[in-house]
Amino acid sequence: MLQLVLPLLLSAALAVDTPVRYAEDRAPAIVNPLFATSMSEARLHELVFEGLFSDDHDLRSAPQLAESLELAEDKLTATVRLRQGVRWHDGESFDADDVIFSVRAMSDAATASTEAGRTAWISEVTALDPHTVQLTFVAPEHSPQDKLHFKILPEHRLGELPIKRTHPFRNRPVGTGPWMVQAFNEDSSISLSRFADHWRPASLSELSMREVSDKNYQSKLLLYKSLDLLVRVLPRDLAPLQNDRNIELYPYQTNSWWYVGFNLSDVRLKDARVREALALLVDIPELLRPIGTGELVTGPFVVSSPYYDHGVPKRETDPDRAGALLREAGYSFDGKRWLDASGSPLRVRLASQADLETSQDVVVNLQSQLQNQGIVVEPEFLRRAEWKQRVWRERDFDLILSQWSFDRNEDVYEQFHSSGGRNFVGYASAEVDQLLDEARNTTDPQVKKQQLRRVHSVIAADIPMMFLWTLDNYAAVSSKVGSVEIHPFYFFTWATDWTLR
Amino acid sequence: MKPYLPCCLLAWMACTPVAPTPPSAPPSVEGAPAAAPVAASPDLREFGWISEATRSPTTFTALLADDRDGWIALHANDYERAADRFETPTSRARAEWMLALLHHDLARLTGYAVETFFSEWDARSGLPDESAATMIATLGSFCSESGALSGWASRCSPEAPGFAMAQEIARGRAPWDHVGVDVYGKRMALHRAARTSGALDGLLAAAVQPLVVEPVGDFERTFFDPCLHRTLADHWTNRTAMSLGGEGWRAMAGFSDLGLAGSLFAPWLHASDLDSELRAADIPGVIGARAPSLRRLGVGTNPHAGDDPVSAREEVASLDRGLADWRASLSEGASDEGLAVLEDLRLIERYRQEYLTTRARYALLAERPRQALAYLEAARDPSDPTVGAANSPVLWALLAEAQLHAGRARAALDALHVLSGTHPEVLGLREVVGSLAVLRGLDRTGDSREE
Repeated sequence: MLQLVLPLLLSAALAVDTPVRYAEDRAPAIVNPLFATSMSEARLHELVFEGLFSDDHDLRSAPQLAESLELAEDKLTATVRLRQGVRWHDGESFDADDVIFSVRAMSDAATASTEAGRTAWISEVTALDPHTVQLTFVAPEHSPQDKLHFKILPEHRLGELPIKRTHPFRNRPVGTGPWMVQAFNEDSSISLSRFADHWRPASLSELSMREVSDKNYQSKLLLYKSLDLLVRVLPRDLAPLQNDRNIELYPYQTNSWWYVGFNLSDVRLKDARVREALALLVDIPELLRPIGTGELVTGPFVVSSPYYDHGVPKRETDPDRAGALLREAGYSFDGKRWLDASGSPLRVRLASQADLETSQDVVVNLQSQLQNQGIVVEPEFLRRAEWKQRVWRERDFDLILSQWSFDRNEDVYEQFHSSGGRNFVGYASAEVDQLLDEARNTTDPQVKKQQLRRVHSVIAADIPMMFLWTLDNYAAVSSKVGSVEIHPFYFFTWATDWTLR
Repeated sequence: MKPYLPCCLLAWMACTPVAPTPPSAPPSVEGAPAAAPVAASPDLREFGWISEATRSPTTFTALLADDRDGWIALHANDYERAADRFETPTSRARAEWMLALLHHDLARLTGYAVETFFSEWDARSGLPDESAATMIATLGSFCSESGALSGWASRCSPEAPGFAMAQEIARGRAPWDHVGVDVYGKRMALHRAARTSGALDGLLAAAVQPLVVEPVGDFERTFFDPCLHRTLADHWTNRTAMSLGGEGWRAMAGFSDLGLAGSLFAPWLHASDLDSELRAADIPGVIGARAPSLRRLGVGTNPHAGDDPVSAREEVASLDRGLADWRASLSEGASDEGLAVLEDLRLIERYRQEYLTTRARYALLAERPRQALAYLEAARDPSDPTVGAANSPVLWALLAEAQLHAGRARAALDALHVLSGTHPEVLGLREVVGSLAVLRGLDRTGDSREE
């Protein structure tokens, strides 16, 4: 396959004025920041949309669509002056109404934005004039600019609330960012061109996002100059890239961990003994081996996190203990399979995202491990829309294999608070809820560390997920792209400074 | 770079007959211009320990014969083991020197982290009442090696434990001169023992326990000893000097009298480079950063204007081009044994990392953290995310420091986590950097996505 395709790709690579081409494992399902769920979407949004504030190179909040912020003495309101002369990609002017609309859209219950949590601290937003807004807060805010990074959307393109995921905006997005979407192509790639009227025009004139689900193939395309940038290289693929003088590797810090989640609304998986038994039957280092080096985690934080509880022991594979737990839970072993009280085999569906070669390897390995221990596993490889529908909305799964990426705040509230919008495993613990609520409000960093370490230990004991591993993050970039600095989470935040050598 | 495969070489090291030959005399490099043109075919004799080990493997083998375990440990960047295994004092000094550098780096990092953490916490919401925070900040400022005592001491409560020590610190006296029975007095007694008799065990055992624990509701606030690495740095600097028969860090000039033993695996290529750099340096950690001999490879060593990572990356690219040419030339003239030494011990990669980490330290001291990061990212071997032959403890320590200075406290924790695998005593440093990362996130809403 590669031998046939590469010459074609190579000839394409020789064309003059090719855009900077980057690869994503999966193309964004839609381009609308109100409904962003994946890293590929977040990265694309960073190119197309802007917030009032954004991270500067020292990771401090710097004005983007804002010009300045003045915080009231009581810290309950702030006046934000907006940058003037900013235009949307369709030529319309950006103004205060867009800010008001964005906050309301994200907060709108009927819209059910995935970003709702990012505006919940704002109780009111009003326009003082076309280029000034006043924000009123639910509680005193010490540094509101640190929370004003969510993307601002064009009121004139999105119209009335509520907004639906199917709104045509998803295929015709309009932002104020340094690049604008030119085309969604049939091969799932997305073409972007520089927005000439941007208040700080980018150097790179064209960008192209290409969907390449096979990580190994991504590396080969980069080596053959048919791609210019890989946002994430697996450890096993680093060596050949490291040896190529035309490629530069950039380590960057994103807090990501892989997991197998249990659907806690499933009557079988609601039983902690069954979950523990399944966890004890899995050899996690063996699952990791095909991917390369990584570090096993015991809870919802990466090992270097200040919130990681190093006192939580790693769970070793223990089929005997697993068997005892399953018997205790009412299952019996017929010599080949575990059977429930009615004599039916213990059978679980394991959902993962389709077209992700790495996940498929893990799923097949996991299936094999559990089946060898008498558990029937039915893999389901779900396409993007199906995944969002069944996992995010309907919660129609038994087990899911996926990975979460967190910014440097490592806020697991949405995943583990009983009211969390991303808690699709259905985890509910009064103690964890209380700890997460308290951790959001504490002003003592030492206490917050302790609170979240306890969250780690409680969750690890409750086993709503099998926590698997974290991997080192490296981006690989063609040396033709210069002045590269990579934001540790959103990746493209500083791409306006990138150049072609 | 290929994976680290030392086994065949180590076997060879053990079996090859020893036939000592005198080391080649390094030429003078004085007066070399900063931007000399690229030398297409550098003279192999000009490039110090790599050339020497490659071209005269018997010299190399003879050196290893006496202190084989020490050199193997030093090559593996296991400084403590090397310091323990070297039998020849002057060779042992090489490992002691690396330990001194490591702890100087960690002391500087601790000082910066402690000062930044308490200052930012104070600015945001004020430090908690009746807390040891100001006392720890006082200790941290003294031990930071910055030479500047901030105003923390004057804010310590007269009723608080350690107040007498804080007053002494305010008068410029070292905290380890303080004698007392409170927690500070007990910990400072361990520092004194380490400093006067070289007894590190007690200090290292205590290092993984908090110095102060304060209950806060159902939780605890913990503060670790911010002077640990300062004492360890001073200890290893003194040990280096003793092993070389000198005094203070300038005793390292003695390395230039040791031939290959004084430069093998070092950031300086040979004795004349070391001498040249010692004349110019006023602090120890930058020896190797100027690298006069490198200029023959077309690598300019003048500092760049501003904290521009692009120019640092260009310098690395220039270095890599030069080293590639150098490797080709060396390989052409080398025997099979010489090639085995060069490739199996990854001598060029080792020198490259030593040089780039020293350049990074130089950039950090010049307040150019982004350049330092560029050097360190280039120096780091991604094939092995641990401390070992591929990536030294110093690299991880400097990476943490550069990340912290670049505003990336959370990323600094990644490097410190790696370092803690071999140096558990960095726990206290991890905790304060972790607290700083948490503090900086208190006013943010976190973001998370599916990958």
